[in-house]
Order: sequence, then structure tokens, then C-alpha cells
Amino acid sequence: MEKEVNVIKLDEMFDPGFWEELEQLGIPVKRLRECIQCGRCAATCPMALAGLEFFVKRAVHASILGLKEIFLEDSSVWGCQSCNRCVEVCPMDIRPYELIMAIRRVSMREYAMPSSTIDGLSNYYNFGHSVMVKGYEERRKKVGLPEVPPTVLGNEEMRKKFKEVLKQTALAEVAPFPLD
Amino acid sequence: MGEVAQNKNIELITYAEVEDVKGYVGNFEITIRKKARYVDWDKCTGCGHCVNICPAKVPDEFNLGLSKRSAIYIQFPQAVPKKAVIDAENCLYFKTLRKTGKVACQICQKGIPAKNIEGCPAGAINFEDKDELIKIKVGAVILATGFKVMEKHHFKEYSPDCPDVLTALEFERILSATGPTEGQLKRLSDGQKPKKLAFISCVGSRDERYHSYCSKVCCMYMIKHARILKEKYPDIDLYLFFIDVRTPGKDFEEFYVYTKQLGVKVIRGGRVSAVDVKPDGKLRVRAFDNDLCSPVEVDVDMVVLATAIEPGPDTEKLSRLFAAGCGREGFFKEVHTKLYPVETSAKGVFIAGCAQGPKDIPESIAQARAASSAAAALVLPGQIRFEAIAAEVIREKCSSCGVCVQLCPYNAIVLEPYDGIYKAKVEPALCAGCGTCAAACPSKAIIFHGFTTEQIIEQIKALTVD
Repeated sequence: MEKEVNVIKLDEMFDPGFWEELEQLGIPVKRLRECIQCGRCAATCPMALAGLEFFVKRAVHASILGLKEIFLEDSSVWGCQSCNRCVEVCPMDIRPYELIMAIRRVSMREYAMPSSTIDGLSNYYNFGHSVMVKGYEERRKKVGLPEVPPTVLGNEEMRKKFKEVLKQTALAEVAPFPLD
Repeated sequence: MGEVAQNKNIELITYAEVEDVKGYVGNFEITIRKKARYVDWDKCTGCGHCVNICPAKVPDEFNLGLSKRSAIYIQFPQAVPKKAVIDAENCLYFKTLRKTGKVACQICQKGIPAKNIEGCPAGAINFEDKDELIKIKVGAVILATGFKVMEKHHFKEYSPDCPDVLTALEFERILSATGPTEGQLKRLSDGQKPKKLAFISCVGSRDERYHSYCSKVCCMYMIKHARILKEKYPDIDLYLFFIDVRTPGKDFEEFYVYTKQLGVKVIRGGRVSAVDVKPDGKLRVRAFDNDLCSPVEVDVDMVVLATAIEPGPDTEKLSRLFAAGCGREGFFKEVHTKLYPVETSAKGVFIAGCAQGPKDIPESIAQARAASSAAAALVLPGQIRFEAIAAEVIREKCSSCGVCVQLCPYNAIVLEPYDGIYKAKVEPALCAGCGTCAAACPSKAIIFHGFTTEQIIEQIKALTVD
């Protein structure tokens, strides 16, 4: 949705279904609502330090307000480094990290994610590594490692099994590419 | 209140005003005007028959004008004492009498014989009743005259003319079973049940244009309203706009967090900039959400304004009568915020409750008990100690100019005959030892014990010795 002016319409953008989705994904919304917006998570979050707009604290608040659309338009949650510091410091036991992960899943269902995520995911599915740096074989050789790492990447049979395992996960539901 | 009315050591004088105060601590003589009630309270049983048959209807002050009451009325169902009074301003009998000099109506007294409706069954109506001045002698006084809330019409930006924009007290009446809607939550404009409500805090508080102080109780009662609504109507959508949420003390923060759990939406950093009435009757609320870091808007069906707590209308008048003193904001001023919180600058005059400043019920009760204990401790011993620092007039020197009488902030100086001439006299019980009179006296006739000129010069000498 193109915004005419920079204002969030709390009622028009309110989507109670968002709360249900979060509940299904294991986030008790009642617990989320205990957030007092103290900002301790934001003070430790690398996302916030990196200048991403909807870092943990604001993601929690927007979720309490049921503003799903914000996360479909903004890619901040995809910047989470999974450091889990927010969970460690939170005085109200909100577990913001778990919320971020749930929001990612909700966004996936709407195909709202950065393209780098799709590459990463398909790499992970196909090769067992989400980050595949071009010409890795040469570099590994240079430092005296075998060209192919001893992971599923170098093991055709294990790679197939790995794919089978992934097909049993939520990836089957949300993958933005065909799972062969 | 019921308990107070029953206590044989307490005399309750209601529907009355303090007219005049004379004397000083331990010996106050207070003149009280008992307003004419036109109903004999010894006979009135509070049955409410007269209220039902009275034909004159006027806005009900207790419901803040949201409903009508009769000209003969009982202020509210739990009133103590539960007795009727006639509002002579609006009573048809008195109105006609004033205009034409003839008697009319008298339905409350005589009923409507044609319709077989009887008048007051107790025969308590007395149209001849007059204001009565009574004098009482007391040793100490506690001023606990309460507060009033700001009205919404000050705030043009919040569309105060719209009946769906209410002050919190009006909203409280709407929720009350004895209120204008008998406890039904509905819009006063079209009678529809509102689905979305916005509550706005700090309306008139923390605002240099109105009141710089925090009214203290608004955050909590907004949360209370939200909790009542959300528990009764789980589907209702509530938006609470706070500058910041002030829930200090035991159990208050827990109350807030519990209310949030119910799904109430809290917007902080959001003193609402405008409430506009849309053509479809909805109210558009515009604010800023600090936590989203964005301007926000929401269309609601009803807006509740948490308007500021103000000093009652007669606080200043009373403070003059009792020489008790008011602070900058118009509340009664305590002598010391921490050490003398219920004492005023007038000895023997104590304060309690919102007349001293905004506070909630537990605090008001604590302060009331402190004030009554302080008053009892002062009066019960039968004698009182004063500071030796007080002024005294050397009458032989006094030129009777009267300058000191005007200057004394405690009304402690009077001119009284001495050897046939009026001379100043300081009442030691009232003198607070401020020294104003001694400094101002052109004849140097007032000495200030403990700070005489000789004493001060000796002190200077001692301090400046090499």
C-alpha cells in the first residue's frame, strides 16, 4: 500500500488475524502485551545499532497493536542476527527474539522478504549452506583445506537426506521456490 | 459517610457554608449559613415521592448535566443524609412567587388531588423555610473541601461540542448504574454502543497554559476504565493515549500490566493533537506514537478526556476566611511539604484531601486521618505552647496609625481602646513571629521578642570581635 502521508492508521492497519497467527506460531500474545516498552532490548540489539527501523522494541509494540502490514513493508526483522541478547536482558520475559522469528514466518507466507533471503534459503535447501561464496574451492585449497567441505555439500547421499528432512519442516509450507 | 452520620460525637451540618470566622486556635467562633432547604429534615424520610411528582426539571449537577433532576431533589442515591431539598431557583412555586407574587404548584406538598396523587406523606415540605445563621465554637478546623475537574469546553482542539467527547467524570457517570444511561455504554449522540474508544490523558495537566502540575490520578482511572470496559466487552477496541504512564506504588504497575494483557492498546508519547468529528459521526484522533516513532491516526466512536483536577471554586474564599493561604495553583498550602503536610500557616487550621492538591483515595484517607489526629492532639490537652518569638506592642509608644494592622499576614493585630485611645494589640496566639510589623512600625513601638534591636546589635558585636 502506497502511503499518501507519513501516518500510521491504527484502525485501518489493525489486523486481529495477525495475533492469531502469532499464537499459532507459539507466541502468547498475552505475554507480549506485558511489554512496558522500557527499551532495554533496543539498547543491546545489533539491529538497532545498525540503524534498522523496526528493531526489537518497536517490533513488539507494533505486534501488540496488531499492525501486520508494517512488517510486510519493512524488512527490519530480517536483519536480526539471532544473538538472543534481547531475551537475556528483557525484564518482563517477553522473549523478543522469538517474536522476530515468528514475524519472519508470517511475512514468508505473504512472500514479503528480501531477495537475499530467498537465495539463502534455496542455497540452504540445495547445498546445506545458506551462504555460498563464489570460488570457495580455490580459497579452501589455498589454505590447505579439501576443496569441498565435509558437510552435506560434499556428500550426495546426505544432501538428499537433508532435503528430505527440510521437507518435513515449515519450509515445505512457506518456501518461495519449488522443493524438488 | 453513613458511619459518620451515625456517630454520636459527630454533628453533620450539610447544605451549609462558612460565613465568617473569628478567634484563633483553640477559640474559633465560626458562623455557618445553613441554607433554606424548604423541607423539614426531621420529618423527611428520604422516600423520594416528592422527587417523582415534581414537574420542574433542570440539569442534574451530580450527573454533570447529562440528565435531568427535579427542582425538589435528593442529590444522589447514596447521599448522607438522604434528605430532599428544594432548589428555590428552579422550583415553580418560588418562580411564580417571585414573578407574580402568587402561590402556584405546591405539588410536592399537596399532591395532585384530581389524579389521586398525594403530596409528601411525611408532611415535611415547608415553603416558609429561611436561611439560618448558626455559630459554633471549635478548637481546630480541618478544611477538606475537595476539588473540581476541568470542563472540556476549554479544549477546542478536541471538539468539545460533540456529545461523544466526554470528560472522564462524565464517562464515569455513564458507566454508573444510577447515571444518565443507567449503566448502559452508549453514545450520547445516537444511542449506539461504541466499538472503539480513545482515552486521552493530561488534558489540562502538565500544560503551562492551564495547570503545570500532574493531576496524579488520571493514569490510574484511565486504566481502570479500560479494564472495566475490556472485562465487560472483550471485543471492544480501546486506545489509551498517554504522555507517559504514571503508575507509581504498590499494586499500581501490576494493575497496568494486567490491563495491558487484556488487549488494551497503549500509545505513549501521545498527547493527542486533535479530535475531529467526521461527517459520518466518527471521531478522528490524531497523535504521535513514541514507540512506533510515527504520527498515528485512529477513527473512534467515543473519546474520553482525562481533564485536570482543579481547586474547588471556593478554595480561595475559604483560605481568606481562615487565613490558611493558597499556593500558586490555588490549592490550600501546607506549611512544609514533608514535615508539616496537614498544617496551614494559620494555627489550628488543618487540611486534607484534594483541597491540598491532587491525590487518590488512599492518600486522601491517610491525610484525613493525619489531619484529624493533628487537630485532636492540639485541642485535647486543653492548653497550647507557643514559640517565644512573637511581637508585642509597647502601647505607650504606639501612635495608633494602624499600619501594622493592615500589614499583618495573620490578622493577629487589632486596634483596641487603651487609656481611652485606640492602640494596636498583638494577639499572641495568632502571631507567627514573622517580624513584618516590628520592621514597619514608624514609632518603633513594636518589639519582637528574641530579636530586639539591642539583642541584634549585641550579636553583631559578638560576631565581629577580632
